[in-house]
Amino acid sequence: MKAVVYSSDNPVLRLALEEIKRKLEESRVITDFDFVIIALNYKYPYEDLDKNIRKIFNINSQDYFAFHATESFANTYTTEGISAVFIKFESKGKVKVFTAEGLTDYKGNNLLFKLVDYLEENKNNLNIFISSWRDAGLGFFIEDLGKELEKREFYPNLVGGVSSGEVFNGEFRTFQFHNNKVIRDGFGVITFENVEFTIGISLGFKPLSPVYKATKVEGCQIYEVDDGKNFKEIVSKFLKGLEPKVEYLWYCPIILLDDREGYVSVQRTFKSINEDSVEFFAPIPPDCKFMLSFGTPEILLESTQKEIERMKENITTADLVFNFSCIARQYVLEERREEENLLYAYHFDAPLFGFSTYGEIGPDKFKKKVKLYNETSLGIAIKERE
Amino acid sequence: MREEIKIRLLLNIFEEVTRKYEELLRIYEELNELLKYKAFHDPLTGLYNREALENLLKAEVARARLSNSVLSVIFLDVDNFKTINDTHGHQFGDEILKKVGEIIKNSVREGDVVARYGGDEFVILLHTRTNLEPQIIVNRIKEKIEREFCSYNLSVSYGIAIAGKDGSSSEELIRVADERMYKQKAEKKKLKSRVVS
Repeated sequence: MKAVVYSSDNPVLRLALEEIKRKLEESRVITDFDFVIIALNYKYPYEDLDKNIRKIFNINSQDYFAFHATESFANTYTTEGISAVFIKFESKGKVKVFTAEGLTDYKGNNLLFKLVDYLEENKNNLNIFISSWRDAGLGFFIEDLGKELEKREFYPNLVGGVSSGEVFNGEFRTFQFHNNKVIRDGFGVITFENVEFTIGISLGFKPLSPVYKATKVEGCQIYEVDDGKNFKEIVSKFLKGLEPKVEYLWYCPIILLDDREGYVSVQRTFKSINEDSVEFFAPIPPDCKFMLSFGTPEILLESTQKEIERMKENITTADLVFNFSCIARQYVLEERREEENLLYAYHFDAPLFGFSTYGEIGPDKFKKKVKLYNETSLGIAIKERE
Repeated sequence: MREEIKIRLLLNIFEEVTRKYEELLRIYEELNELLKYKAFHDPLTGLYNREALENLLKAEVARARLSNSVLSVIFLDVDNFKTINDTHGHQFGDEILKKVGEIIKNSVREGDVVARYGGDEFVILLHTRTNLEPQIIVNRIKEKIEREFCSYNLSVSYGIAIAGKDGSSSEELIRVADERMYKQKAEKKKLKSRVVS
């Protein structure tokens, strides 16, 4: 498999796509391709996206998958424009896409079961899941998905990220695009067949407190800890002497411990300090135990380096590397954010494609459950099977 | 700029972490105290338990030698307690034991030791000036208990051992007091059977 990644900062959709096409032609690494994945900023108009992609790249509507990302990664470059990865298989590799709508109402439709059925059919393939952002709803969907997979007793090699965007022209844009469809409230699964792959999840934030117990919880919000202590009051003190910007709290996500086994399970990023609660970007299980943590660019990069070394025990070189890295993690990495992409690309000697996510989806420590992560870097190195 | 923010943030978090550790330390100390208390006290009466008594008695024997006071060990037992339990139930029996413990505790000085030795047996360690005082005190206790439970015909037996006179080790003193208590109990039984026949 050959893959190349290009980007454009041009604010005009057509011009940005044309610039990428020009870079592709000039590089001559590949003359044609089988599939293209495109990450584009939410500010681009999307009404003619399908037409533009088809026309500019001379492909069919089934041969691309696009999604919103506030920032995307083209090798070591980060852009607020468009990034695209072009994939050309050389052996038996293949790509297919499954899309679905109806995340908000997933309990009233059979979306979850449709997805699980699809994943069961493709459990030996690599499934990359890119979804719309649906506040706490998405977190609950992923939790329920994990439970259903546990019931059916298989782990489907499911990894991915949540599209990132903002409210623009009256709509919250974290959409996906495929086959001339705009998926506003759903997801797409890009399935790679006949590939070897390795997955790494770099957390990195250092726990620095004793364990707290979240005793009053609702969705993504913690009201009380340790039986009656107002968590909002505790967290508000973290910002003493600072501007009350929630982004500062991205340096210190909370670390949830696994309910049964006690190991570090996932990080949760602060979303807002409300009147009587603290809200996170993903659900907080009732009665869960957690610790306060802290991270710096150095600590996070060191964690990614270690994770890459672990990944390299499975695959030494790759044809393509993905990095789905949380938008809050990018904030903490400061001016060293591009170093994380450099680490992946350098160690696997491969082109890199990725984006700043609103959440990362991947396996737990024992690859038995699927989890929604916050503030992690989720790396996937893939290589076509010969 | 970001460095200053991080340092400030970290200092603020450490304040909270310190508070949390102090809270945990307090809880740990309270638990430790509770465990210590539980290890040396009888849960029903709140008096010292047998293990505590054995440790305290050794110390009291040494104290008596140094202070030249008279240390007496009083073994006190509720007569026919099994019958009370069988007739009125264990809960009632427990209430009696609690009350007996309370009466003994209120009848001695603060520095004296009162322990529940096991079942319906209590041990009192008294420091007095003369050998007669323990007898006076234990009679007072006996009277109070028997008056409190006169409607149940409850009585107590006791035995006294004086340190130095009846033994020098704690084991010896307990043994002598226990034997004297049993002797008194046996005499009471003999007397009762004579009266009945």
